[in-house]
Amino acid sequence: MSRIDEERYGESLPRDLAYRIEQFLYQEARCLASRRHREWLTFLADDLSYKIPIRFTATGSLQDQESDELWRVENELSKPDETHFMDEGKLELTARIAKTGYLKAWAFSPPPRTRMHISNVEASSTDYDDEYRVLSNFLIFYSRHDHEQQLYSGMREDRIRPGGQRGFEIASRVITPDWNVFQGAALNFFI
Amino acid sequence: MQNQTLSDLVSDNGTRVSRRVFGDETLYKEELRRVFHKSWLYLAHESEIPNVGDYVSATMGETPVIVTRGKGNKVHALLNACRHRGVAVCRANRGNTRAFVCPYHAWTYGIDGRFMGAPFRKEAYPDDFDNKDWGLVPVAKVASYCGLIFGTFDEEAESLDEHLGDMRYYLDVTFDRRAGGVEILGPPQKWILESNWKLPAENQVGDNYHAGHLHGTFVSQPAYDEILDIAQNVCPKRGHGLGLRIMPEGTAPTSMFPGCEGVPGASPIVREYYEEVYAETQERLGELRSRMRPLSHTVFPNFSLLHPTYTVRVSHPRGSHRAEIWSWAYADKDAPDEVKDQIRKGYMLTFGPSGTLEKEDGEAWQQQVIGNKMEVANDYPYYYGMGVGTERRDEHMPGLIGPALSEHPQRNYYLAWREAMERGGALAR
Repeated sequence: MSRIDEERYGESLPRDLAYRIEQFLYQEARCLASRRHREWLTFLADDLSYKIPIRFTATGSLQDQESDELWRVENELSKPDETHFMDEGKLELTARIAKTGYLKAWAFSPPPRTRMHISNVEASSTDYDDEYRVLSNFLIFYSRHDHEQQLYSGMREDRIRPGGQRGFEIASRVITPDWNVFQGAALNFFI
Repeated sequence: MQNQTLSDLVSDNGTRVSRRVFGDETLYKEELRRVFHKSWLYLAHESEIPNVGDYVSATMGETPVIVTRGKGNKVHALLNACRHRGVAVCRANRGNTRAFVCPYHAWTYGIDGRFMGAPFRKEAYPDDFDNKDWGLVPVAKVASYCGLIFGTFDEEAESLDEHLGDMRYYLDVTFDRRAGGVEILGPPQKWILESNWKLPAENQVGDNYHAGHLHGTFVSQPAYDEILDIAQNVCPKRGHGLGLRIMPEGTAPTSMFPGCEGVPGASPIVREYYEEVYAETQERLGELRSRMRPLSHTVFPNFSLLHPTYTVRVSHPRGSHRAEIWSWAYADKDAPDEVKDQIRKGYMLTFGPSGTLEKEDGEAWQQQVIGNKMEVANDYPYYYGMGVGTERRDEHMPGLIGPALSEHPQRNYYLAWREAMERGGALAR
């Protein structure tokens, strides 16, 4: 799973399962806001694939006029073999998190204040019994030092499986960013 | 303010630089005219616009331009504003088109910028309206080196080759290792630094000093010691500079990869690739240059590259304390896909807004604003005198060569800035 699949609605999961998955996402967001970065890794599967493509302003094709193909979001995102903001696995995320743990890791010391607001959670079934497709929107309030302050918005498409220490684990996450020029100095937080 | 003031801003030997050079709004406005309207500026890489009709957006200073591939494969750079009322005619960051049509009244321009028509052209326009006079304003000069496209607004500017001078000798080490050169691996990452545009350029012109502390949790003490041991700082021409590792004669080809030991992007697949192509590199670059493993470079005023992490970038001015960085990853065009993939991933882990190293650089550059804005401290300049007097000529390679901790590339960068500012005459009060 590498691309955002926005068109498909899928069959909603049973209410109890969907509720537990939603709670899992809220727990994850609180874990990050509380800066329990090492603990965050327990939400992620060992074979995780994690991607944030670059988004830019593209132009549509003449032949796609009068159809929804014209302004497909996918056309505005870097392709799988092109540069992203992030494109990595759990090993790399673990290494990033290790770097947050030092007083002299200057990108995190002092750390930013972040709070991720999750909404529009849609949990649906996939072709695999033990894998769910979970979409969610995020709005991240970011502030650092005295005056730095930004908002970051986007959508996440997750593949989530039962298992792991939290009851579920994230096998893949593809983020559709809602920015073109990233309005901060660093993506020194986790989405 | 007379030119005397400019020598107060950057001392004659470059060892003292006033904080006003970074923090003064009036100087910033002058800098846009005197530096950015006169210098050669990086626009794009030829591999981003391979086909006729391809274009990418760019900016020169604060001025938006379109870089296009016209008929006969000619590269054009055009101001992105309709000649009729000034509306932007190109509304995407990249694409392919036969024409740019202004959304306001539909004045229409070819991929080379020439005026192609407007509604009621025959009925409503006077006889003396000549299509030839109303094309998009072209950038005065456009030229490429190793696929790197530069442009300047100054018709009187020296040629790009003259501007780069002996920097070309060192750029070849990165961009001409193999036949076919390099290609860009996708769209640029773009982000905002609340900082002065010169700070990234100054860092990449040869600041090896910061690696040991700012990146101390990433660059181990042995790695830092090694850099200081084998690296030198080179100023091939006033304004341009680089940090350069020169490996001892007889170094095994396994140690000639661009990256740094222990830094992402130096995976076994990548190292094996560079080992395999080393004979070709030796043939193309010669014995001495094939032993060179550069660190970072800046070409005056705002184009930089980081050889170990495969990235080229531009620090665009957006105000005295606002810069917009555009950063691209590249790889040898003929490298296998799995090597390009590793290079791309190594780049994203280290540089760009999500790069572990870049985040630390950005933090330092943003925090420097605190000192730059202290008007009460304007009589207290910053110190650029490290290693003064250690720079020398070397019969084997061009430029002023000094130890890794010599700040002569930075001194010459600010002296080049001062010269560019002085060429514009006295500063208005």
